[in-house]
Amino acid sequence: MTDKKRILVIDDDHEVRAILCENLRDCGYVVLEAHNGAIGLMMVKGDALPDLIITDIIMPEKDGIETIKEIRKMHAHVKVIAISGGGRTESGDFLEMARKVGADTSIPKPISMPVLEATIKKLVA
Amino acid sequence: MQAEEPKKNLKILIVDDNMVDREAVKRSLKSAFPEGMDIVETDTAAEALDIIKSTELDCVFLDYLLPDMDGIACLKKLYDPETDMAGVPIIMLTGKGSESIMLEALRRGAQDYLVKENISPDSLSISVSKAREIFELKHSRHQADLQLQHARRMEAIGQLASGIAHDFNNLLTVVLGNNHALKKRVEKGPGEFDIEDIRKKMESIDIAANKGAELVRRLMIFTRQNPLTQEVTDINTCVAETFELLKRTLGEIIEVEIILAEAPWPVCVDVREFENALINLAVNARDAMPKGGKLTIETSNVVLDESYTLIHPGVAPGPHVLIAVSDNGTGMDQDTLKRIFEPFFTTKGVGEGTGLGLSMVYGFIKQSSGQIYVYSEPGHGTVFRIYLPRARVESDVEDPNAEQAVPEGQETILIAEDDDDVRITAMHMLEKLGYRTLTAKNGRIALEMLKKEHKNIDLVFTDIVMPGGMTGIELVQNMREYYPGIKVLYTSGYTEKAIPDYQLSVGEELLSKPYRRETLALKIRKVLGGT
Repeated sequence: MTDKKRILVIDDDHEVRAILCENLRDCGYVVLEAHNGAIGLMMVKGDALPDLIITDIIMPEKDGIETIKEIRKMHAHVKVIAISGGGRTESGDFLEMARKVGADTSIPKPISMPVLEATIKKLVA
Repeated sequence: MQAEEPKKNLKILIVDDNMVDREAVKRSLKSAFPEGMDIVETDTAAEALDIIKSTELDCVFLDYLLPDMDGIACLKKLYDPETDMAGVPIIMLTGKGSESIMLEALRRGAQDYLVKENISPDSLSISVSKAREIFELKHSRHQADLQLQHARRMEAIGQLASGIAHDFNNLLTVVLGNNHALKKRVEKGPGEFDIEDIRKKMESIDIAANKGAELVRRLMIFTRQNPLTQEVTDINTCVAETFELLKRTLGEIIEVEIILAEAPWPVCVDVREFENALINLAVNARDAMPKGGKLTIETSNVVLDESYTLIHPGVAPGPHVLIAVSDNGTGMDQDTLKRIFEPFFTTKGVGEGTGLGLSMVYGFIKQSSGQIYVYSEPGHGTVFRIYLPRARVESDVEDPNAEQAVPEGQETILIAEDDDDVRITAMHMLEKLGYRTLTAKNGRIALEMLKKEHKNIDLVFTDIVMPGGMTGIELVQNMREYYPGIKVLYTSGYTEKAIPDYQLSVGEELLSKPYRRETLALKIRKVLGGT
């Protein structure tokens, strides 16, 4: 089967990343994982570009905003969903910022799986 | 047009058992305030206390000598430590002028002091105005402090809300995600799912929920809502029992040393939370020593005097047990130090620290009526000092506050200290002990002063770690080359065993900060000789 959509999930929280990936695999997607933006970017540099990238915003090494900016420099058309649980020390709206720098859409945490699944379907149908 | 409120007469209470004196005060008051006033009189302190509690007064004249209680005892009953005064302006009256009574009255919250033989309409008028003005100023300042505290608390709560939202949303994502997966498996029908897989998902939900509960517990300690189980405790036992756990937690590259006081005073703390606080401080120290280093935990009995509490607001004078946790790691700059106890403030990478550890330690120590201070030098290390008040136990008989005779002297001492408050306090202490002093705010200035004044200087009292390119150690090395006869006493925020990059030689003396006048006096004389 070659038409299975490929999704890259970037989140530094291991538990969150693990359950998101498991649910997406259950839905039939091929899922790749990265625990920070720097690793995520390395995974989209080659030819095996995923169809969609889900990225958290607040992460060590390279945060989600920087990650989305660099993704957009390399790939104008890959779909990106930004996810975030809100600021750690500020109430700034990181998801709005993520959309401004190139995310196609955003979903606030806690993530509702039906909402995530529906959003993915819309973007990569 | 708004009607003007009628001007209210001043309401004044005179407390004096001598009727003649009361009449003299009344006469002078009537001349001083011809527009009229309401005067209430009593001849006992007990009745005065009742009147003050139940009546709105503008001023109280309180005689020092009363039949049932002296004026100072009466002031003590009225004193509110929150506002540092009574709830009403008070002028102390006495038959004879006594400086010690005057100072004690002012210290206990009176606003002014009058000797009866000097009473006149003018002196009373000035005294009442002055007392009311000082009272209003202090009252306004207290209100402003409360508002500032409230604003800071609201800011902290904002940070808490934001931080807790981030962590909780991640935990809830884990709960929702696992629950979603479980539902999908159940929908497939019996026999279609793997029991072990189901068990793991339920376990993940349990873990996430427990992490949420732990987060709430930590927050409750920070916001001081969670009652502590306080008990009278030997702090050495707590430190010793945490020792093994610390060694395991910190790993082999961190050497851990504990130096325990011989007979520490008892303190009243929640033992579990105290151990958590120690572990928190130790883990922070470990993170400041990525290439390894030494963690030192010391306990000692200290008596904080008023000179210390003046420059360290928030701690009361008196006997305390000090627990000092020192490391020789990377240290912190001033900007970091200012924010270190703020909730969710962290210097660690996102995802590596919660930013709650030190704010929890702070909350716990405050809740235990203690105080925590941090002293740090970038590149050298950090020391956290926890002061816990000595717990009162029935066998207490000694009074550690009792005045002690201290050795004095007339020699000249050069003080090299970069902290303005500490330098000025040391100067005052030494001058009160009879010494002449010179001061320098860094090592280079001190060396310049030595070049000019070395013939007159008997001792250099120097901080070890100072900015400006010359440490206290380097100052002394330079000084010894040219002026070997001048004696040296080192001082440091570090304890003797934890001084970074230096080991005191035999004969060299160190006075650890904070120090009391008595300890300073004894150390100075020990170094200068002649005790």
